[in-house]
Amino acid sequence: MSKPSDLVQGTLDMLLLKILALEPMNGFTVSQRLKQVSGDVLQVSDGSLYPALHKLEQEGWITAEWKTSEYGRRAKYYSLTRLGRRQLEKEADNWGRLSGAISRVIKLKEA
Amino acid sequence: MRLEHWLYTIPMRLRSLFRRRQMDQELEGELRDHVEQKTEEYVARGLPLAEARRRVLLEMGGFEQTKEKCREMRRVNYIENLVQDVRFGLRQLRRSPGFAAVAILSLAIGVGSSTALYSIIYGAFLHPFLKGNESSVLLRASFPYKSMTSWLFSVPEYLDIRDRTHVFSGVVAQREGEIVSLSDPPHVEGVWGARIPAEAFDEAGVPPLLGRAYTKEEDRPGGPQVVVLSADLWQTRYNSDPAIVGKTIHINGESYTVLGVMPKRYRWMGAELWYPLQLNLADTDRSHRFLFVTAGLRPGKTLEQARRELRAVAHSMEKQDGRATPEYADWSLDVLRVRDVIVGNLAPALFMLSGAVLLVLLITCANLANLTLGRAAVRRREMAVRLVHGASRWRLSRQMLTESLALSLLGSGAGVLVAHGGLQTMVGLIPRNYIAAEAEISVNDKVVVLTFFAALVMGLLIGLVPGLAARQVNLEENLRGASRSLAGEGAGRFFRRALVVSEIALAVVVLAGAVLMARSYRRLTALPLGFDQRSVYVTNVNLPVARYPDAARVSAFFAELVRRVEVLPGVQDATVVSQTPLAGWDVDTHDFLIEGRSVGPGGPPNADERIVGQDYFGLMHIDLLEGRFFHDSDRSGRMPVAIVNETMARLYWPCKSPLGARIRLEHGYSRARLLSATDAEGPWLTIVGVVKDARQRPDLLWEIRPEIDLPFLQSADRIRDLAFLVKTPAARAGILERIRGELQALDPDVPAYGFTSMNEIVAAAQGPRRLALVLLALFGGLALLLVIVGVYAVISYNVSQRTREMGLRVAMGAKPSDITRMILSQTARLAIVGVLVGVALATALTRLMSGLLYGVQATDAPTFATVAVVLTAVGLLAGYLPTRRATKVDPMVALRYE
Repeated sequence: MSKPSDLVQGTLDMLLLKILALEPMNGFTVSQRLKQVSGDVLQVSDGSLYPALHKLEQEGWITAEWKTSEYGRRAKYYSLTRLGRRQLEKEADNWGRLSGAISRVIKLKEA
Repeated sequence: MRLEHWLYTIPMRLRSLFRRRQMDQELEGELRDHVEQKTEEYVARGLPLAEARRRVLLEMGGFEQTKEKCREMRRVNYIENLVQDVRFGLRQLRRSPGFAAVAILSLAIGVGSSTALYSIIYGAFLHPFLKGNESSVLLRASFPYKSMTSWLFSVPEYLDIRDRTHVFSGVVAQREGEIVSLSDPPHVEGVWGARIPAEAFDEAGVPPLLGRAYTKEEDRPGGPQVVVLSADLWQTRYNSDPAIVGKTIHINGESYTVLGVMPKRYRWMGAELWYPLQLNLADTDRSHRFLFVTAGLRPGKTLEQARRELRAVAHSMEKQDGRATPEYADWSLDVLRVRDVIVGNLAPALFMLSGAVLLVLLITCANLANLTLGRAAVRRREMAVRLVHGASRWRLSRQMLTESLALSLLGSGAGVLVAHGGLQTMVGLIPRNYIAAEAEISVNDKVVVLTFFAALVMGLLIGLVPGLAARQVNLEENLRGASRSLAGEGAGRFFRRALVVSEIALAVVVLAGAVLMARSYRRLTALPLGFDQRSVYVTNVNLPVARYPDAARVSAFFAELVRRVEVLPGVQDATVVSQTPLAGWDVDTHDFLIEGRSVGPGGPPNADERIVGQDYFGLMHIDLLEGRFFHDSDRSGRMPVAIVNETMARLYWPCKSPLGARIRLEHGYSRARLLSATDAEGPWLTIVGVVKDARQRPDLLWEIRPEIDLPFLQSADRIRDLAFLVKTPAARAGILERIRGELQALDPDVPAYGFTSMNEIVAAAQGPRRLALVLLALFGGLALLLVIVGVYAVISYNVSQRTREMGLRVAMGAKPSDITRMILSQTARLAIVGVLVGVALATALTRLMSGLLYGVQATDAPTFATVAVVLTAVGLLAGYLPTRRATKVDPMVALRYE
């Protein structure tokens, strides 16, 4: 089981935003989707996932709505706000620059 | 971006605070949902239900813990605690409405008046727009041999000052503002215009709102007729027309091209429009004085340095040109800060009032601390119960502090409303000319922020002592409900008495100030004016030179206006005068020669000059001492005549009557509105009358100078701008309309402006003292009220604490009168100590207001004695009321009290 410390600091926010950018979904689906798309590499403990979602909500990046799911269950669905989309772009940009820089450094070593 | 962020997050935080239960339910639901889904998944993978559930909860790291972590994300925990304290505090306040009402009311008045006062101080002195005034100075000349001062300079004098000084960054000459008429449709209007040089715009460093200011090329004799408008004029008269630049407007009947509009904060010389000075630098007449000279002090230079340099300049001018300009004998130049000139007497009044309001606020705080302390004693049991239930002593202190903060914030909030409502009334007490035209006075955000911080400080002050007292609650004793101490416990008792003593002392200071102010105001209003201002209304009329080029037309116009207005129903009299009494800030003066006398070494003497209509003295009730008033036959072509005042007659004809003597006017030190400023070689004037002295100069307290009055019909060539006086018992509003109507009928192109009543002018002349008086009276009353409440609270608390002791005493045979005497003597001790401290303090502090006093010493003994007696009496009275309760104690009840 991976802990949030396995993730690079601050990237959890970005990942959650990215996942929610695909479509509105509830917390459970977020955790599953995260596992799925990362090929089980990225796992976030449920104990960190929900506080993180609540934090994003408090920042105004995502917004929540109670909806009835396809199985007839009432669940809290999160979706990205305009602010969140901008935040995602910003963080993705940063990430792109950071990972690019790191990989350049790594390659430099090998050469 | 930030805004959008707050749009999302503020409702979120508010929801966290006020929909806590709902938020928690939703959180619970969300997590439960998660647990169920995940459990279902594990069960589907084959785990038994119980095991699946355990795994899910384990992975989550505990259901309640996760909930708590999510809650923490709301970041409002500390607020929740605070909210609890505040709610509790407010409930406590509701439970003692009397206390709450007294507290909030006294805070509201104290904070309200200080907020309003600070708004005025901020608007009039501290506003960033006014910073430019900080370094600008105005020059003034004194001619000792003429016992006169002049704000005006001639062209050669201006050039000498400009070229020979080094302390100034820019020496600028300009004419005084004058009323000009804008004659374009829709209506004729008189507005202030000022002839200023192009440099004046550079000096101010304020860029135009629209278009541009004029350049040095345009500001030369014979240059183009161009004008720059103020934002106010542009908005009101031209409806903020964006295409105004380049348009032509008519000023005094001549066409001017609008070059630009200045922003609202630019109000140079208080004018509404500015046009080029176009100064003729070749003018060599040293006595033709018509220019104000302002300058900017170079950074780091002091007024003292400027004065030293000007002294040298004046000296060298006297040496060079003293022969041709006799008034230079011993003359001197002085500089004054523009701000001081505008603000004048108002600044000391405002700062004295700030001091007073600060004292009142301190009294309020002391009083509330006192009341809170009294209540804290009553609430000791509650405190003890909370301690037992695990509240920390710190939390109890914090509770007291929170309560007093809530109180002071409530009171201050009410105070801001009071200030908002009362500000205009307060501003109305200040004559307009004490405040720079560009000043905007309002309860603005900065003032509110300051009040908020003041409220915090006051909350701390109020809550400090009770907060500390709350830490000393004795658990065991209080739970048993027994307060065994006979006279209240030591520390709290000392605090309460110290608070009462300081309250009384501070009240002595405030009251002494109020009484001193009232006495000097009475002296000032009792000052004989020498004229009767009642039922006299004034409006100014300005005849455009283009339409009224000669004396005949000017006098015909006013003769017809007077005739038409005089026959209006209710009008008793109407006349004209060159200068409204007590208005403006300078007087037209003239040098004069007396026939048959030689001129002294200091040149000819000087007197104030007034051009008056035929009925002026009659209308104003200025008495005739000798000779006659002007009459109909004193017109141009007849023998030129003059009337002089008592002072002039006494000074120049001490032993005999001046009637029949002849004088001749020489150089005029006139204000810009006189058209021909040099009147050398005027005709000899025969003195036909002497009138009583009247206080007509701009400041009520200026000494009366010699005055020469000339008949309007013989001076009409020199004047276009006159005050038109009407005496009528009719209501104010109607009379203006009627005068306007007559003016319209006579000549629709002539503007009237500045309608007011003589009563208002006199009141304005009493100016800052009136503001100080009204406010100090208010503060004095408030201080007295607070003292009554304070003393009453302390003594009645004492009495209630000593009920058992009283019972004992009565049981031992003490008579009610003994008890009364005992408690009264205790009150008296407090009052006397307070009054003594207060008198000592007041003698030191009232000295600071001596500049505002008139006819009363700052350490006036009767005033201090009165205040001391009043406060002692008030203290005793406030202490007597609870004493009566004490004497009615039934010994049996008192002894069974526990």
